[in-house]
This record gives sequence, C-alpha cells and structure tokens, in this order.
Amino acid sequence: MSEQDSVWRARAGDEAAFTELVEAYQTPIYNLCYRMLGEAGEAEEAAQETFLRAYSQLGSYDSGRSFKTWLFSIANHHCIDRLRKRRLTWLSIDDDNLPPHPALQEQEPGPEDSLVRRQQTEMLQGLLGRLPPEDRSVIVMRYWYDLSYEEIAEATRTTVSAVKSRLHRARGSMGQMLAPAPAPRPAAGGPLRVGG
Amino acid sequence: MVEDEAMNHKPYHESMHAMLDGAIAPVDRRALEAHLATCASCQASWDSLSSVHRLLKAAPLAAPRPGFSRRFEARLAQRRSRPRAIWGALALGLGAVAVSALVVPLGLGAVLATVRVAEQPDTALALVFSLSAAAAFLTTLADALVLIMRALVEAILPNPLAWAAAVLALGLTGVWFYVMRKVAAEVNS
Repeated sequence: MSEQDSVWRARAGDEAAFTELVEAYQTPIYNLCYRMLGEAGEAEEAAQETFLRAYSQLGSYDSGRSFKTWLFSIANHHCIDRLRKRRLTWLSIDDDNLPPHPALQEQEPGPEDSLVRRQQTEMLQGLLGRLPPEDRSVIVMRYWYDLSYEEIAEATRTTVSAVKSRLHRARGSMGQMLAPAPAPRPAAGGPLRVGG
Repeated sequence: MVEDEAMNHKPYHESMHAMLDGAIAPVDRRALEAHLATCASCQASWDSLSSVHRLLKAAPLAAPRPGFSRRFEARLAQRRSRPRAIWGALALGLGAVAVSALVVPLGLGAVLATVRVAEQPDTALALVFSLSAAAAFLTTLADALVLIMRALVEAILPNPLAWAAAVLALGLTGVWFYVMRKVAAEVNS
C-alpha cells in the first residue's frame, strides 16, 4: 500500500489509513519537534498536534506535493508558534540543562559511549536552542532529513536563497558557539575533508 | 582594511558551506584547499564549521515513546467528542432561552390584562363573585373571560416590545432547530 493510497483513503474518511501515516511519520515528526523545542514532553504534544492538524486539513493537501514536506511544514510552523508563545510568556527553557531524551539513551550501547553521546546530545540541543527558530528549523531539516534547499524552502514557505542564507548563518553561529574565542593558529594545509 | 580582507575571504566561506553541502565545483574546491593552506583565519573557520557539521551528522533521530499512534487515536476521538458536547450544551441553552422568550410575552400580556381588569371594579367584582360562586355566575364569568381576552389582545398588538419579543422568540426557535439538526448530523456521523 503506497503512501498516496493511504492519503487518499484517509481523505475519504478512513481513520485506519491515517493511522498508517502517523506510524510512518511519527519518528521524523517527533524528532523535528524535539530538535526545535528541546524538551521531550513538549515535543510529544507538538507532534500529536501536528498530526491532528494534518488530519483536519487533509482536504487542503495538494497531492502533487510531497506529503512528508507538507507534514514538516505543519510541524515546523506549529513549533515556531510554540517558541514565540514561550518567549512571550517568559517560560523559556534553560538551554544548558536540557534533559536528554530517553529514546536516545536507550539506543546507546555502553556506559562510556553513553556518557559521551549524552554530552554530545546535550551540547547539540544547547547549540540549537540558541539559534533563532527559523534558522533552527533549516538546520534540522537539512541534517536530520537531508532535505534539499528546494524542499526546505517549500516546508518553511520561504525562498531557496533565504534557506541558504539561514543555513550558512546557523552553521556559522553554531561554530562560533562551539569555539567562542578561537585562537589563531598556523594553517594546517592538510587535505580538505568533511565528516568523520 | 579589515573590511577589504573580510570581503576577500567571503568567497572562501561560501565555498566552505558548499563543500559541507556537497555542492562544490572541483575548481572551487582546489581554490579553497590552496587558500586554507595559507590562511590561518579561514582554516580556523573551516575547522569550526566542519566540527559543527560532524556533530550534526552524528546526531541520532529522537523517537517518541512507544504507543504514539494509540495516543493519537485517543486524542482524535477526544477532539471529535468536544464539538458534540459544545453543540449539545448550546442546543440546551438556546432551547431554554427560546422557551423563556415565548413565555415572557404571554406572561407580560397576562399581567397587563390583569391590570386592565383590576381597573374595572364591576368586572373585577363580577370575576370575584363568579369565582366564589362559579355555578351561579357562569355567564358573568364568560363575559369576564371575553373581556380578559380582549384586553390581552389590546395589550399585545400595539406593544412594540411584545412584538420584538415574539420575533426574537421565533428567531431563537429557528436557531434551536438548526442547532438540533447539526447535533443530529454530528451524532450520526
């Protein structure tokens, strides 16, 4: 059963078909919400609300577009709204003390590795939490879902050049946060490598 | 001077991001490599950007707690029952208002008629007598009732307040019927 079949059946009122879509996208949507909001309970709320909104707005979904991008768009805007409300009500989370997500801990094999990965997770969430929400969503869509500039532009309802600009700015800011006062050092001159 | 230098390095920063996104042309890559070999500042920027890139690439996908879709189904059912409850409460409230609106003009007319009757002592007395001796004064009682009915009509017809109340009652009753149809449709869906 293809995704489009499930979408069509769901649009015709088949709740079980929509549940199939929820099961297929629960982790990507939850992860997007968690990376945007930084807290497991709020991420669950936001992910649930995303699917409820998607269900009620299925009639407006254009089947010529990617369902995943459409869902991401709903989740992204909902998370940005939540972040704005959070800022307005002065309930911002302490970025330095974000709780590690239980699902991440469960995936970890050993205690030493667990400690390192937990520290990395906390550090990463801390860095993400300091970015403006619009920049944060671009980073999340690019790195966790490998979306193209065009797909991110569609999901965030902006232009490709704005996406590139936000991505570059966000990466630069995170780099500066990682090394707040980089000491000048001699050029390494080694081969250019990415990843690892 | 510093600004000029920054402008000179800007293309290399663009190349760094293109490199990280896997979208760099071979010629730009060679130029970037050559530049990094001689520019400590850009090399530091590259180290920083590639650290962020590696950190992000290594980050796992956070998964929700088990039972996410079951919780979704429960929320969907709850969300659906909420409009029904709201419509039900609205229907009851409007029904009560509509009934009150129907009763008010009738009550108002009855009060006004009673006042009119009270202003006519003969009829009032006749009414009292007819009540105390109903069998003996049936005819008088009938006259009095006719008088009451006439007074009632006379009180309501020229009174704009009574007309407005009646129109309002009619409107509210219409809304009540509409709401009840919506409720029935919700329940049947």
